[in-house]
Amino acid sequence: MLDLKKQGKFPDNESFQWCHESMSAVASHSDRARSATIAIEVDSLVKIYKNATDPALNNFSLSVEGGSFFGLLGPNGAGKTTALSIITGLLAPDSGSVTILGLRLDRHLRQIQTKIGLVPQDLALYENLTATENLVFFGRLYGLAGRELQTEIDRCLEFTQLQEQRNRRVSTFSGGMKRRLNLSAGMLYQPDILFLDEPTVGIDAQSRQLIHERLTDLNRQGTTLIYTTHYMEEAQELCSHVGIIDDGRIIQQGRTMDLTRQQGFNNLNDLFFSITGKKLRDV
Amino acid sequence: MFKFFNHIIASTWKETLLLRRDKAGLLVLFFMPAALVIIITLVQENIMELSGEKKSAILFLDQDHGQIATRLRQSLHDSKRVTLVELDGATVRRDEAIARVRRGDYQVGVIIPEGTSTRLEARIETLFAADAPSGKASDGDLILVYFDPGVLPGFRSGILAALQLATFNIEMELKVKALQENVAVLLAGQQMMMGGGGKKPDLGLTHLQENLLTISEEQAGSKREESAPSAVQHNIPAWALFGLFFTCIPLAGSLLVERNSGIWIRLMTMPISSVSLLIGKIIGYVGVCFSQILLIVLIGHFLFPTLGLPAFTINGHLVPLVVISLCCSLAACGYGVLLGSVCTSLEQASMFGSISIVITAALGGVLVPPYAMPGVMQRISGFSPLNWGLSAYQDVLLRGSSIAQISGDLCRLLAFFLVLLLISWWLNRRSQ
Ligand SMILES: Nc1ncnc2c1ncn2[C@@H]1O[C@H](COP(=O)(O)OP(=O)(O)O)[C@@H](O)[C@H]1O
Ligand SMILES: [Mg+2]
Repeated sequence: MLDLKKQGKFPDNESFQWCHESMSAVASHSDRARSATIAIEVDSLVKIYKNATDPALNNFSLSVEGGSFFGLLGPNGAGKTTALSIITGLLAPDSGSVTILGLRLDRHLRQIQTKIGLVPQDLALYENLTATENLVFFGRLYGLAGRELQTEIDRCLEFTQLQEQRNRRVSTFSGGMKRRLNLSAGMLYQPDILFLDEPTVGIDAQSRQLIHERLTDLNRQGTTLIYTTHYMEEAQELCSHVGIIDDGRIIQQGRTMDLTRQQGFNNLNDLFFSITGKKLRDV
Repeated sequence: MFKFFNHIIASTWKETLLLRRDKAGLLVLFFMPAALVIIITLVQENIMELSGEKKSAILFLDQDHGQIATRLRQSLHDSKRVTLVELDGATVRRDEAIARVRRGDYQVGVIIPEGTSTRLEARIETLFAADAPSGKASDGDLILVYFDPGVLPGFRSGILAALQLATFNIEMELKVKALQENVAVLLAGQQMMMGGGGKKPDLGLTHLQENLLTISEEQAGSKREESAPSAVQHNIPAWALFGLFFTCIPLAGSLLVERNSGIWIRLMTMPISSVSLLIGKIIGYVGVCFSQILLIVLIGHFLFPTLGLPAFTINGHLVPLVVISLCCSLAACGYGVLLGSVCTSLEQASMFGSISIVITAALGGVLVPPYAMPGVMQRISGFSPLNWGLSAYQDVLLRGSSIAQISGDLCRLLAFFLVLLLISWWLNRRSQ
């Protein structure tokens, strides 16, 4: 049983390493040094949706250091979700390339998928299953089983403080609890990089605070976080790095501290409005 | 490979849990076909004539070439409800004709054996002859009638009644004619014997009531065929199929829930193949289909006799029936996957799904058997997946066909399933 579990998990690691090595062998020495610290490298993504006139992404380039807490900030309709969808392999770009942990996304999707987690903007939970059952389902898809699955579920539920409600159906949860469970499901299997698409929209202050704390913990433990939001205070508080996106392209990116100070602003909020303007964005 | 199966199992487990909790959905899936099959069967059992308008095909094999054939043909023609298909009695053999009826090409086969007319004429002649032996005449000739095992009892009795009436008329006419010719001779003879006593003369009139021509209803099915063709044998598979196709709606719903929430997005970022997820889902819903069929079969077997209906029997054809059920369930699931890909909301899927199923069911012969439909509709009926399923069930239940004999219908059902999956896959890809 234990052997089978390992079989489920290890081939991916091995093939991942194999690919990594073979690629590094071709790459130059300096490239190898860079790929050790750069978790995500996105180069000139262009995406025009069917039946759309304006591109959702227009030469979108981004570079995220390993271990950073990266905030992708932008008004509604700026292209945040589209960018995450392409970077996580859900959507094919019209042009441009994505490299994650040194692996080209278009060539090594399966290996990359074992290293990343996504907490989607819309809740990704079965309403008629309990919290535990939801996690069991997603955990089993990651190849977890038996004791290992159980410990992983316990860890995730404890992390988001849902142990008490573990056997309640999701349909009976409050918005905040659902958001927390949504986060738990994304943490299963302990991904190296976790993408979060507006994970705190429309929830109570306590749940929001808890999620903030947990994400900070997760980042300290070494997980690279990519976090989209349009709450500037949140980004200011949490993110080590930010990128500001509008009209499908990154307009500013860098360390949160440096960026505001360089541009002569007190906080991210002022910087954001100076860049994106105050025009209403209703999409 | 191990992982792939693990994912299928996880997906099936999840789908079964969700299905078990969808009480309203399950109620509809199981209650609706159960109620329909009971009510419709009770109603149909009491209809003598299944359809007044439509013409059924009668195979007419005349080996006699005498007046009986001419008269029967005439009266069947007059009844307007049937089309006669004449076979040349000189070239076509009897078992060949029977085989055609058994296959369901024709609903009825009427065979008039050689010499029937001449024998009948001769016997009537002697019955009323002056020197006729008194007492009952020996058994008369048989006109053989074969029925397609799939026809409903109402139609069967209608045809038998029409034939009986026709032969009765022929016989009567011949007898009356014979009597007329002989009446003078008979009367004279009787009076002589009685010596003018007060007793009424015996003209042999009791012979008028005797049947010299008998309509004999033969079994066209194979020897081991014991099942009595009835509304029950037609309705159980028909309504089980009808209910089974309705599972496409919750299946589409479950796909839509995943697609319209973030679930599909999360699943697609996981290192798994969407094929294993889909297989797991389909296994769950095939399970539902089989439970539905089981329920309807149990109703037919145990409940029907208590309602005064014949019991439904499967006559030991378990394996072919399970194979048909599997193919039908897959076809229904394929349709569900397509609905889930085409529609954007559960409401849309329910509306579109139920209307299309009712139409396909009506075309497929669930409400009215295809042979009772007008010609154009019969041809359209051949395009309905419910027709493929139903005709496969009936071939096995009523005609004792083997899996090889119904392979055409089975292949059509499987092809339907695969083609719809491919279309859905293509639609999903295109929507990117
Ligand atoms: N499936 C889609 N089809 C067509 N246009 C889309 C689709 N999804 C998003 N868009 C458009 O692409 C742009 C970027 O959307 P999105 O990435 O969702 O922005 P954000 O997440 O920053 O709010 C918007 O103008 C939006 O209307
Ligand atoms: Mg978004």
